[in-house]
Amino acid sequence: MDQGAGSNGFPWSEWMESAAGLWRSATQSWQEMSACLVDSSRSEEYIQASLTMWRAFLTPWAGLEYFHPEESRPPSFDMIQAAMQVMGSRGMGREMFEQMWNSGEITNRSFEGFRHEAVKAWTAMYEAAIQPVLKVPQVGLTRVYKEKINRLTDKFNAYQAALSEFQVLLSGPMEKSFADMRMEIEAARVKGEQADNFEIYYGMWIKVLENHYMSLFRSEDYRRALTRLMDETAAFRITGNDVLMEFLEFLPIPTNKEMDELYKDLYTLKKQIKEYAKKINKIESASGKKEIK
Amino acid sequence: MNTFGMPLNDIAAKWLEGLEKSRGLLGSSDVLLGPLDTEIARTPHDVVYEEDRIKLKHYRPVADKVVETPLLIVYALINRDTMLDLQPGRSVIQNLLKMGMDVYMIDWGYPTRKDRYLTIDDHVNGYMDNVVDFIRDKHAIGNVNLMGICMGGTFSIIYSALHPEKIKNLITTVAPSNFETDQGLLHLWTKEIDPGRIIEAYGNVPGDLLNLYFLLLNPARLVIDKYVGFFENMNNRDFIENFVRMEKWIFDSPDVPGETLRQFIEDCYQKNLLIQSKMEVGGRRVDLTNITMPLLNVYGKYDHLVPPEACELLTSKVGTSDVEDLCLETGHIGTYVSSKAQKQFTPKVVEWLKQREGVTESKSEGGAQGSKILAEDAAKTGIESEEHLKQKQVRGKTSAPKTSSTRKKELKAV
Repeated sequence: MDQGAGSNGFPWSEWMESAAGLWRSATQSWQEMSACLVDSSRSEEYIQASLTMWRAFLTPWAGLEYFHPEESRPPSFDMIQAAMQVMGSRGMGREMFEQMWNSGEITNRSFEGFRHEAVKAWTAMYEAAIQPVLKVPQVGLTRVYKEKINRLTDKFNAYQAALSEFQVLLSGPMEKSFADMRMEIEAARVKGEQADNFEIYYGMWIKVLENHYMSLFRSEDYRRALTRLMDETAAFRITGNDVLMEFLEFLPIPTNKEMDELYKDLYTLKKQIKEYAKKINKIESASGKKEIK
Repeated sequence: MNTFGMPLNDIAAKWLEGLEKSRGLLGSSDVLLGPLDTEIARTPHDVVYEEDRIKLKHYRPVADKVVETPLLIVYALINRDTMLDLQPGRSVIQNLLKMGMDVYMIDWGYPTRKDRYLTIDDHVNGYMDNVVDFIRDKHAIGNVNLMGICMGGTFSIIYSALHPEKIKNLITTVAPSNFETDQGLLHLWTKEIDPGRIIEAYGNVPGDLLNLYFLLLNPARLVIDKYVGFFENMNNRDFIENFVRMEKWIFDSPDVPGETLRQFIEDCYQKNLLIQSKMEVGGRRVDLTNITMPLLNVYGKYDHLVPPEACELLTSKVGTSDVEDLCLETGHIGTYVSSKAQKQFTPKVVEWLKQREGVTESKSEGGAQGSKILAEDAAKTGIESEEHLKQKQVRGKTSAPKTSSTRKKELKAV
C-alpha cells in the first residue's frame, strides 16, 4: 500500500479529510453567522449531524480510525493510485482488480484504456456478485414492494454503469486533444514558430477536439454505448415509475397508468368523432345543408 | 529569452493587450444588465384555425400579392416554427410577405401527455388535411402551395402523396426522405435505438432529451466554442441579442408525441420505407409516384442533421418531371437564419412559385402558361438564366429522363 495515501487505508482519505476540514470551517462560519440569525441553531446541528453521519459511513469501510478533519491538508488526488488501492486491498475491489490483472491489460494500456477496463470490470463484478443478491426471491406480505425496490436498485446500478461507460468515452477526445496540443506546441517551440496569440492555439485545439469527437461518434463502441445508455435510462425510469405508482396508489390521485388508459380512450373517441364529423360534413355539403364546424 | 520563449517586452505587450480586452469585457455588464431586444416571432399574424393543441397562423400581408395561391408552411414537431421569424431582417416569413406571398403556418404547439397516442396519420391526414381544407375553403380554391421544413417536410411529402389533388406546388426544405445514409450521425445513431422503450418510459419524447442528443452531434462547437464566442462578444449588444434569440429558439423544445416519433424512427430511420414507397400511413401506402405536382427540393450542403444524401434522392422517385434540387452552401438552419442564404432562399422560393402560378391543373395548359411566364420573365430580364433554360427543357420534354445534371443546381452563397 502506498504510504503516501494517508494514515488510513482509504485512498481518497486525504481529499476527504481536506473536504471535511472545509466542511468544518464552513460549519464554524455558519455558527458565527448564526449569531446574527434568529433560528439558526437547527441548521448548524443539521450540518454537524451530516458530518458525523459522513464520518460514521466512512469509518468502517475505509478504516478512518484516526479521522481528524481539523488536520486538513491540500488535496492530493491520484486516481490511478486510488483505484489500485481500492482494488488491491478491499474485498469486492480485489475481485475487480484480479479480473483486470489476469487479463494482463492494466499494465500496458493507456489511462483511457485503464478506465474502459475499470468500467467493464465493475460491470462484470456487479453482475457476478451484487446483481444475484438483488434478484433473491422475496417472501412475505411485502414481497411485491421489496422486489420492486430491488429491481429499481438493480436498474439504477445498470444505468450508472452505462452512464460511466458513456462518460469515459466522451472524455477520451478531450484528453487526446490536450495531448495533441502539447505535442503541437512543443514542436512549434522547438522550431521557434510558436504563436503569441492564444486564439490561434484555441482555434487549433477546438478543431482537433472536433475531429476526435467525429472519429469517436462514428465508432461502433460509441454507438453501442449510446444505445446501452438510452436503454438503461429508459429501463431505470420505467422501473422507477413502477415504484412511484405503488406510492401514488396510497394517495387519492390517479396514477400515470390510469391517466394513460383514460387518454387512450379519449384519443380513440376523438378520432372517431372527427371521422364521423367529416363524413357528415361531406353528406350535408353534398345535399346543400349547413356545414358542421 | 525566458521559459515562455518570448521576449519580455512581448509578454508585457500581451499582458497589456489582455488587460485592455478585460476592460472591454467589463463593459459587457452594461449590455447584459441593460435592456435587450430578444423577442422572437413578432411578425403580426392572426390565428385563423385551432384544433386541439395546433393553431394555424395567417400572416398579415404587407405587399401586393405576386402569387395568388396561398403558401402553407409546415414546420417540424421538433423545436418551434419561430425559427422562421427570429428577428426583423432575418425572417423568412417577413421576406416572403415583402415579396408578395400570402403565408400560412402551422404552429404545432406543446404536446402534453394526452397527445402521446397521436400518430403520423393524425398529424398528416388529421391536422394537416383539416388545415389545408380550411385554407381551400377560405380562398375558394382547389389546391394550395405547400412548403415543409425538416420533419415537417417529410410530413409534406407524405401528405402530397396521399392528397395530391390538394397541393399545387410542393417545396421541401432540409426534409429527410432517404434515411439509408451514413453521412449524418443522426442516421447512424438512430439505427439501433429502441423507440418503444423510450416511449414506454416517457410517454412523449422529452424535448430536452432530443436537445441533448443534438448537442452531442458536435460538442466541441455546440457546447464549447459557441459559448466562447458568447463570452468574447459580451460587450457587443447586437451579437448578444442575436445570440439570445437563437438560444431561445434552440432550447424552446416541445416534447414530441410518442407514437409519432416511434413510427418516424422505425419506418423512416430504421426501415427506410418512405423513399421506397412502402411506408403506410392511416392504412394507405405512401406512393411517391403520386406526387405529380412540381417539386422544389432545397437542402444544405453542410447540413449535419439532414445531409444532402438524405434529401437528394426524392426528386428521382416522384411522379413529376417538374423537379428541381437546390443545394445551398449552408447548414441545417442556415437556410433560414443565415443572411447569406436568405438572399438566395426566399427569392428562389417566390420566383419558383411565381413561375408556376399561372399553371393550371391541366398539364398541357399549364405547360403553355408556364412557358409563357418564363418567356416573359426572360424577356424582362433580357437574359435566359440557367433556371429558365432548364424549365423550358422540363416543360418541353415532360417524359425526358431526369439526370442529376439537369435536376441539380447548386448555388454558392455570396
